[in-house]
Amino acid sequence: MNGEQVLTIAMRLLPRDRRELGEALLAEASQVPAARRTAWLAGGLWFAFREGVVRRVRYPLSLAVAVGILATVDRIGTSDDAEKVTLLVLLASAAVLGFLAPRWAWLAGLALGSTVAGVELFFAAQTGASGGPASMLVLIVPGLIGAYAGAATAWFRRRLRRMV
Amino acid sequence: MPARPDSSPQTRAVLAALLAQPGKWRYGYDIAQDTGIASGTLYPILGRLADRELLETQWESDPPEGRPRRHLYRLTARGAARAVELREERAAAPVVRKRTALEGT
Repeated sequence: MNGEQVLTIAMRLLPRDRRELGEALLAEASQVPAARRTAWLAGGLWFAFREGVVRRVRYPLSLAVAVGILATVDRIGTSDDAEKVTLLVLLASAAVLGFLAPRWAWLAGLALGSTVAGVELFFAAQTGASGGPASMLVLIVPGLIGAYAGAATAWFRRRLRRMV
Repeated sequence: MPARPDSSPQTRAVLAALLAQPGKWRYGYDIAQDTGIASGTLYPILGRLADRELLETQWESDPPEGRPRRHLYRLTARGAARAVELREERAAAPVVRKRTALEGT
């Protein structure tokens, strides 16, 4: 299997909106002088990895990190303001994720908004304590508000850039 | 981290290369040779510039026999304006540095 065949397979990783560029890169490989072809093909593989894998993994990874941070903040907070801090972290992280991926704002709002309830439920089950962790699901509302505020900011930013 | 996605040195180089022959359709390897940018860096830049409508793209309509069709790129009016803006920013930058140096003495 030669480099161009490997690259052809790697290009299948690309999302639909980048496939045309992948085809362009591949089409030009045959015109690149032999001395530079390996570097050209290696660049193509990096392009396929970056646009096809990194771009797909980046958002789920960011969401997982945000959930982890929120759960940690919720557990370690002991001060009187702990709940406010948790709420602030929830709003801020939901807004950032909503800004990064407006299409997935609903997911960020739901996941982050239900994190505290999930954490409370987990520890309540471990200690056998009774309580109402399910009532914490009300935090889905600020989660969604934060995420859609981030999405709206991204939308306005894009509009503004088009006008400039 | 660059202040704007189109202000990295590589993106500036791509915009400058395209601005050198505005209106002319260029292909990827041609731009890569002109700028010295590797294919793995060049194509994401071309993609982002096209996403922001600074660049228009099309496939070559009538390639010579035996050669695959090339994907072609050229600046849009907005892209050309942005490229000029970046060129002027760059031209102004050394003056600012000189003044700062003089003020420091």
